[in-house]
Amino acid sequence: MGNNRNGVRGCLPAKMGMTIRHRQKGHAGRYAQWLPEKDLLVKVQIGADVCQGHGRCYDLAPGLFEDDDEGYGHALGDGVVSPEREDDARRAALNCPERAITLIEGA
Amino acid sequence: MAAGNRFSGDQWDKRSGESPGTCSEIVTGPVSDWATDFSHMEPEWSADPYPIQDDLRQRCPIAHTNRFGGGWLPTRYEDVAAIAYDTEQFSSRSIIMGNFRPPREIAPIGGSPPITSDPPFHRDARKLLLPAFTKTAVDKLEPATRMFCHSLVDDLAGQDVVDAARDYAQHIPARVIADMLGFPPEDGPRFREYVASRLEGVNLPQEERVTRMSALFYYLLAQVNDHVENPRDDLTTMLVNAEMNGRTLTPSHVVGTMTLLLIAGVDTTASAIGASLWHLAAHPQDRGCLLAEPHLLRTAMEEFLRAYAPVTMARLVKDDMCWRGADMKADDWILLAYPAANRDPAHFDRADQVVIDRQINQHAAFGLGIHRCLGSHLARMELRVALEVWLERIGDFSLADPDAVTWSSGQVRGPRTLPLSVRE
Repeated sequence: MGNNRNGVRGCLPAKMGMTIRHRQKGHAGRYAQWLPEKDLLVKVQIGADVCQGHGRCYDLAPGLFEDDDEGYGHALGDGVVSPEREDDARRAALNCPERAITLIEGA
Repeated sequence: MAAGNRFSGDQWDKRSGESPGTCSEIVTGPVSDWATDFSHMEPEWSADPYPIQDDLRQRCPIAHTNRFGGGWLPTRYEDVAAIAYDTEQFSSRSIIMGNFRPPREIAPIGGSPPITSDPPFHRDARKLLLPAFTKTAVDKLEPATRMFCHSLVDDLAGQDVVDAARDYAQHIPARVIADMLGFPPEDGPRFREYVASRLEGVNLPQEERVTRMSALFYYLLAQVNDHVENPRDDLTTMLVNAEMNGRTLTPSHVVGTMTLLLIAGVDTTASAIGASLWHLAAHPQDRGCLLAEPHLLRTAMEEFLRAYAPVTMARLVKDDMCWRGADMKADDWILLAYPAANRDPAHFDRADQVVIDRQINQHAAFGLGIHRCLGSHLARMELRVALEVWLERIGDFSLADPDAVTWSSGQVRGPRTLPLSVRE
């Protein structure tokens, strides 16, 4: 089933470093009325047909990801990551051998 | 239960009626050119395969050999990954590259499902096993594993030089998998012999390989029959009772899977533990870092898995084709060298260095795609506990004699003999 992988594999945002850009709360606050609340959020998604259950995500970022009864990874809840856990989310994504994790910034 | 009849002797006579497969000419001896004549069974490869792989990646990234009836060796990450993902063109009908190819009819099940299975059979056969090997499931085995590691270190007391491969690393996974399968714990050393002969006997005459495999087969059959008589809460009873598509598994599926769990579960993890200890013995700075900051073990062990990935897989080409410039023939081998992929500088920064606090490490030590090592969570638990206990109990150790270290040959690479000087 090699073909259906093309294009499905998660892409990371251009900025791949481990240091995240901390959003400037004051700045956002100033324009809060123009920016929908969700614009501040990062969301994680796992491509279900790409994940093979290596488990790096729930090992490195428990609380953001969990395993199911067969060991496949899932984002907890709606996948929204609190700002203080963005580093963990990124670390999980960057250590997934299948590159199954997508980070959606400003979701 | 009545299922016992399935495993009685009469049923097994059918095995002799199976199509025999094909044997190629056994070619051994020094390699003339690794690009055109490679062999993973020669001592030069066993001793240090990385310079060979690095050289090939630059000058001939898909190397060829006429040995083993013909085969290919990709050394770039992207080629290894592409083949791992492409189960349409590359079959897992056999995953040990040697002179014997099982008959084509054995696909898509293969001799040891699910590692030797192709889609669509693979999925259901794997699904049966997954729950027993999740991180959550194997975490429950951690306390007993830790206790066993401590008992092994206890037994080393009073010695200045210990063999960390033979007297420590090799025992740990054998005991854990024996417990999971519900075999007598003292049988661990017997498994290791079976496993070694399967993995390292690749260039033996086929009759001798069959004789050696028969010993394992009859051992497993005896265990299965004992479990049929006395069911208990372990993997063997689970397999005996398991159903796929409403039917119990065939006896050859049950014993084939047990063979897989033994072979894949013993030597591989022992090799990872041994290679990690070898690195730490030879690199006091890294050892010092881990002693000072034990939390670094989490990234360090992933780095050891990347740099010293013990497992190389194999595939068989399904049909004649030209693949990325290589003129592949049906039934050519692919030696799927995950260790070579893990050292590709196009995919890893400082690929040739061991960086114990590497933050980004998408290594492929446990494979990629649908055949991701089923036991990876178990292996990681064993590796972590084995290293934690060793560092806690024997912090100060070094290679007693670097030249005395010996490495296994074939597709699972790790130290066989690892004499370490230990200090209190």
